[in-house]
Amino acid sequence: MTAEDLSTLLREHVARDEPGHFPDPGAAIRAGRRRLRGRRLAAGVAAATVVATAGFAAAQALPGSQSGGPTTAVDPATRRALEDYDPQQMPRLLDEHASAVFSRTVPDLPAGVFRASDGQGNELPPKWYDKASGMSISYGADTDHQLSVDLSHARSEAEGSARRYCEEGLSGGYYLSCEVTTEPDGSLAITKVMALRPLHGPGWMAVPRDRIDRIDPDRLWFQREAKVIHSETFLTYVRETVHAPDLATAQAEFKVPVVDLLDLGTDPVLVIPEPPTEPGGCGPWTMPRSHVTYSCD
Amino acid sequence: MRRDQREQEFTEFFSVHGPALRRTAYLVVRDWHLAEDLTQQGMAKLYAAWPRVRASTRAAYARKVVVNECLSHLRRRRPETPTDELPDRPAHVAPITLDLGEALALLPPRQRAIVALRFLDDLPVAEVAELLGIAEGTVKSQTARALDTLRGHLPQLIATEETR
Repeated sequence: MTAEDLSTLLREHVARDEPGHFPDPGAAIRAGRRRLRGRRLAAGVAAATVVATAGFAAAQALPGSQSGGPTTAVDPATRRALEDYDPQQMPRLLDEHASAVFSRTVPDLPAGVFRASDGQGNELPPKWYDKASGMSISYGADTDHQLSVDLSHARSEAEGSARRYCEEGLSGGYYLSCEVTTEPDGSLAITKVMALRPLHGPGWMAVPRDRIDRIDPDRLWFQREAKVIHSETFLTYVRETVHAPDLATAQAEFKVPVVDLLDLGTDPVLVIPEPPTEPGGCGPWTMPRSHVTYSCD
Repeated sequence: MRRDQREQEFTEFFSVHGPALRRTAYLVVRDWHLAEDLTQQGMAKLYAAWPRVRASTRAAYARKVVVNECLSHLRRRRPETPTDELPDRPAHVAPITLDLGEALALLPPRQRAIVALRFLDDLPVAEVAELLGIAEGTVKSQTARALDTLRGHLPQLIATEETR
């Protein structure tokens, strides 16, 4: 395969299903104007903060009055958990809380496997747990019945309209069901069911509704997921994934009721603080081994 | 710079470069809707920075912003998240032969970006390195790995090469 071959193939590949219409620049201009307004507002707020901080610092002579609290915008119960946060305790806490709920309906729950990851999904050793973007515990990862709880700071997954998220997934055929609810703690929960097939590497590929019948039943899996959005960056996924040839069988195989998925998804103890950002960048911290750098502009 | 002048210049730039930027984004994220959203986000950043970016470097700047938008989006996705953007295919009977789209899906995002920039946008190694903020040697080694992967899953391309 020569470079020319690949260039030709790529162009043919792109041209094959490229949408004919390209949007007018109006939306980009409006978004650009919003960025400019936000930047000017932030500059104004920063200036005001400098003035206020200077005034506060001048007036502050009281010891022990530092707030020191987390900056993550979350509900009060979660904030209290963050004040006592110890990243080294998270493997134990996640396992205790998750297994307590899952064991209600899955008495022979396998041992949990903990994983902490950075902003690029790299697995972290314990010394870096305090900078994790995500922590998860999974049960039965090599079996036909898998359970997991996944805590994550991911702005792109937390932002946007939950109802539109459901509507688009349903209309695209990727979600077999999808429902949005507001939980008692004020968080937003999306509960959905998807058909999946495993990729050759790690991960899954969604199977649209109209293609389920065309997939080898032995390669079909179904997943029920509660995605709970706590703040503009923090969210919890609680998933039950079963190996089943069709949806009806999968529904019978799902053991954990949705209320239990949501119970775990809204557990105020299962929370991690927002990770630090990369030096000179706008993304979350990543383990110091990558040569890639990112910038906001 | 006056606002109407900025908008006029930006509109012209958008019309000329927008579709190509969306194609590059598509090869990286492999979903047209997402590519369009990320292109729009990148173009909004370009609009905000318009007076600060020299006219001669606007195309490179826009490409850099859009590709970084794509990579930032993908790196925030955890590997266990189901990937509903990938095209699905009915079950294959062995041996599995992938089409180019499926083979591209096997590449890590940065390798896809390098493939898109080098072979779709025809950028030289040095420019790709500058754009991604990595060493030229890294671009070359990542290109070689990407091509190895593509060749490994596209036997018909190997046949094409052998018969040239």
